[in-house]
Amino acid sequence: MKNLLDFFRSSDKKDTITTQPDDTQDNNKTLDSNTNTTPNDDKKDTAPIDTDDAQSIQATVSSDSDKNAISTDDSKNDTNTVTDDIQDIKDKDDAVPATDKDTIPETIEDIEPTIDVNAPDIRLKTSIEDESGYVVGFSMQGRSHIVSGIGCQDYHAYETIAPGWNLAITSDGAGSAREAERGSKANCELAIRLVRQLIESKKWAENNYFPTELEWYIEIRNIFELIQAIIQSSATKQAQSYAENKKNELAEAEELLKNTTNDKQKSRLYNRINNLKSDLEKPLEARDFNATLILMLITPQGMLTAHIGDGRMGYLDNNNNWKALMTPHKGEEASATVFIPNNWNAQREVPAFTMSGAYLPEVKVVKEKPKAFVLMSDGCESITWRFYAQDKQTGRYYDPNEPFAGFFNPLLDEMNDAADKEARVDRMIEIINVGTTAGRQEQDDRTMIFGVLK
Amino acid sequence: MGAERFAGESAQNMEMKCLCVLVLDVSGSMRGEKLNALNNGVRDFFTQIQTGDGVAENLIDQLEIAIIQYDEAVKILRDPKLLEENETPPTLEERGSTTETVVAMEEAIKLVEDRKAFYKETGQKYYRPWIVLMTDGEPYGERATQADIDNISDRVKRESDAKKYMMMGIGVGEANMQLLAKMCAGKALPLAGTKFGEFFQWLSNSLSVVSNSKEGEKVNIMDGATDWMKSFEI
Repeated sequence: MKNLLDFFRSSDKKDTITTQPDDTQDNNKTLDSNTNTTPNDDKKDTAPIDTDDAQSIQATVSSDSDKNAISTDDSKNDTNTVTDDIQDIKDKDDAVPATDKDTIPETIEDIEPTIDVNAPDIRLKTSIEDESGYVVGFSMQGRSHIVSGIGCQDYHAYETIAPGWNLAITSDGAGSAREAERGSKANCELAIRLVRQLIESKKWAENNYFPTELEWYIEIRNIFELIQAIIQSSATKQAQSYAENKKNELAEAEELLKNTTNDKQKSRLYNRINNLKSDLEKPLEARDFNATLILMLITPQGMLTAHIGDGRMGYLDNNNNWKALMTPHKGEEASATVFIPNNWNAQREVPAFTMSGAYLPEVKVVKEKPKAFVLMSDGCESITWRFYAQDKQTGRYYDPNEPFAGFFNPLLDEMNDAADKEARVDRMIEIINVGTTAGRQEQDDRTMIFGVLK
Repeated sequence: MGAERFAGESAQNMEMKCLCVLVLDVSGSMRGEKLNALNNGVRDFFTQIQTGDGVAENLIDQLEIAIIQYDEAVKILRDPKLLEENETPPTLEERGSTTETVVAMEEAIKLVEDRKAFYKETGQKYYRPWIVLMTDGEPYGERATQADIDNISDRVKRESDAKKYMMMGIGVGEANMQLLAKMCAGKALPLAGTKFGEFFQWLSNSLSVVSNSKEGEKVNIMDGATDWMKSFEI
């Protein structure tokens, strides 16, 4: 039985920026069928979590509880007394280490590639269509990352767990996390496996059972905590080999530096060496995989949702109103949020911890099948949502948290009219990337899953 | 580009605030060419933001600027607020006085804290505020003791580590760069001659990058900084 931890061990190859998508969703998958075509795939996708692993993970969690103890917050004036332990406030003002991950050629001429900020790398695309409807999804590189040479740190997934039971997931890796892109992918893949195991063990699909909010909360919170524990454990196990890889990279870079005469290349090498040195000072830990997690399980009787972190999620109801399904967890500073590996579940205060007035995780159970649904990372928020308005009477600012119909209705029309599923996903990417003024200014990585049920 | 026009549009959302406090030394040693260049620099700064010259279009809806001048006394010349369309900055004047930098820094930090309290009261989101201290010479006045200087240095280090604000010191002329760096948690840079214009161009560009950034991403604001810096060796 494949060890769950294996699938997110670090690969042996060095860090490189991929120029092709590192994953392509199987385009032959329909909205509503299991298409595991090879026996190996079957094993990988349906193997339950090894109970020994789960128990050893539990043991690790309890012995680590001291390490996770919160340090006291000395900023007593702040109304949100959230410390770094819970909330990873992403640094905006640090000078950037030049992330030159390209192999440095020995030739004299150093040709700078021209950068087109409107041509992002698409990390992953999804497009599915059958008689029950269609789903499109993408995770694409943000403009700021195009400029700084960092890949897309978002990831997403759309998976049929059982006939009529479909799981949509989005995960946004923290820019400040060294292995953010692996963190977001791990969140998605772990969530699929664990939700599948839940549905199968409880026979919810088999019995067409729609859980109560309490049942859903208990089970999905348990899953989120298990994902957190697995990431924690995996980070600890990988720490040594991670450090060894970095040491080897450092030795190589230093060797290369001795033989380099070109000034530009030399300065890039200096930067790279400095980054590697400071990397070595910090052993690999769970927060290096910081990423958010938003999921929606669509069942024959309605929707089950849960999230930790920021981003948006909503649906089109039977009266043709677009409605929000989650309150993003936002910190004090514009754009601070919380991630799965953070300590959002430690007991430390009464009443229980909340962010933006919402519990962690926040869940919803809606016993209504949607006409359409949408999940997104916060990079798509300014393009598609009403999220920041001022009450003219009180002068107070607030988050209306509304999917903007002026965006979604025209989008729906175009998606319905698409020639085929390839055209549909490509047009959606184009619309988000350059179709609006806000979109053309947006700097962040962008992920969106958009589905229509007929 | 060949992209077909999209019939939909985005909702009108308010802009998130970005606060920048200029703390400017107008002691006697700034008299003449330096002060003229500084006044012109601040004027250019305002113009760049108002005309969207080299900065994001929406920066004028986001950037709140406060101006504090100091010599032996600290004076708030402009309270933190957005720029108006035709507004010109107040003119800085010197009167042959001393340099009470420590008190000026304390006032600036208080101004930032008060403004943040206002943001929180009204539910506004904001980027981490910047405090830009520009001084020549020593930060001693008659009143600051070594203990005062050590205290402010510790406080700034602690509070910038806690991400309450970003402090940056710009040393003009014969400024004591080592001491300035100590007081600004290591973030101090020397200005080349009187290149205030270039500095303010860099500042408005940087604020533009910050106000369009999302978190996590390390914002590279050092591009272009070499224009106005002397090569500084410790």
